[in-house]
Amino acid sequence: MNDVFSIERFLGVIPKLIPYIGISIKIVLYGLVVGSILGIIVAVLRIKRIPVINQILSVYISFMRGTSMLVQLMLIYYGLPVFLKSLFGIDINSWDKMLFVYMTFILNEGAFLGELFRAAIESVPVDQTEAGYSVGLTGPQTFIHIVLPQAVKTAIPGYGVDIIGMFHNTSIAFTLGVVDLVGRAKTLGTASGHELEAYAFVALIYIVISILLRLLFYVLDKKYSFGREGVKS
Amino acid sequence: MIEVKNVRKSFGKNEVLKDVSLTVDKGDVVVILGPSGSGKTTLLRCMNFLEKADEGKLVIGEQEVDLHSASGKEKLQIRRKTAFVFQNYGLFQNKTAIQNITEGLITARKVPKTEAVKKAEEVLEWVGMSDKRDYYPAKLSGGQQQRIGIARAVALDPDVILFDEPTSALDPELVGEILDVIKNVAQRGITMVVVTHEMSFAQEVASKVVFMDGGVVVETGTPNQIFYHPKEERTKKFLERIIPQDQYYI
Repeated sequence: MNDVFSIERFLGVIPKLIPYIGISIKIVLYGLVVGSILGIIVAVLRIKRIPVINQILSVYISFMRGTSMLVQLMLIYYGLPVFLKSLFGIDINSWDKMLFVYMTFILNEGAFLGELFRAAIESVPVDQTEAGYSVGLTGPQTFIHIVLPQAVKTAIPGYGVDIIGMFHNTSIAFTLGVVDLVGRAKTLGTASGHELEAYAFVALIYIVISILLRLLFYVLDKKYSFGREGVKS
Repeated sequence: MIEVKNVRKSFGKNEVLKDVSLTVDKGDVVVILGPSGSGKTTLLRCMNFLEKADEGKLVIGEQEVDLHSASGKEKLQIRRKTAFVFQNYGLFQNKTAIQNITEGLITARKVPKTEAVKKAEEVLEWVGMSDKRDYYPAKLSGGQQQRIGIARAVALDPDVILFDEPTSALDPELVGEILDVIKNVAQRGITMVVVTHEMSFAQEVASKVVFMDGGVVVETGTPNQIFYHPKEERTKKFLERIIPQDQYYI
């Protein structure tokens, strides 16, 4: 039992794992980019409180936030093809499994980011909008030049946490047989009988990514401070 | 000339403005006085569509618009002829002092950037804030913020500037210097409507004083008429309470 961890094996798994980081990054990017667009749409629609649409969005958000991502992935992977086939006669069984993973991440992020953005936009005091109108800006100009930059400032910390969380979640793709970083670590471990090295490297990568993202968001946070320094202790 | 005609506004069951009319001539400094809740601020906000009146018309120059049903385009046209100075300064928190001033010029009025900056520097100098040019509002005191707020309004070169209790949020020491800035604006010949509780300012600067109470205009006149020869009982009572007796009987 003293052969639990060896540096040699650790170095050995690195080249085998590195190519799989790309899969995780790809999933996160889809979730982030398309999910953010969806999130902005959700946020704006929610703020406008349009009847019916607002109720539908409210159910969507409760569902996405109330169920685990694994359940959502399963429902989309097994449920969506049945749903589309019986209702519209569209056959999507032959679609790449990755598409279902992307879809799950996008829908999930759309709900989470939608609420994050909504709260951030609504946190900007109404006098900022009034001031924009008073100098002759139109509604959209006021939103883009005045409200949005201040909302971004509020949303940045939550956004950072969200992206890091997404990275950790990409491993659920393995349940569909899509091999990402964690999936590859598992197969390597099973094949060699030494699981610790592979997972240790996965942990290391997650830590590095988290630190990089935190640095990025620290810089963004400074950029959007608008002269506020916060409380110093 | 600016005319506000028959404005009515209710918040729920509370009728705040009951058929209020007001005429402001070019170069006029109209000061609106009255107790809290008399509808002064609401009237001012209705004039800039920050509040939607239930009824009423607004005439600025050649243009007449309905205060209740004005189209988005009409609102924009009126807002570009007016400027507003807020009680809580209303500076854009994400913009520096100079950007606060140039924003309305560049984005709304399509003034070329170099020209807008030049204009902004001019007004900043004029309110004595040149050295705070690149400061964000969060780094400025209330008095400094309100100077920028006034500079922003003046830079827009509007037909009228609406002041909504511009000194109410300031500490007593700063009130005087902001009032001096506003007096300066008046001396420039800019048409102004000022809602305030500063009686001495009204006496000194106003060309016309409007006394409002309970959502109606009780009395209108020159400062001299209103302060020394008020006709209405309600005006007398208000002034007695507000102006120290010795000052009142001078």
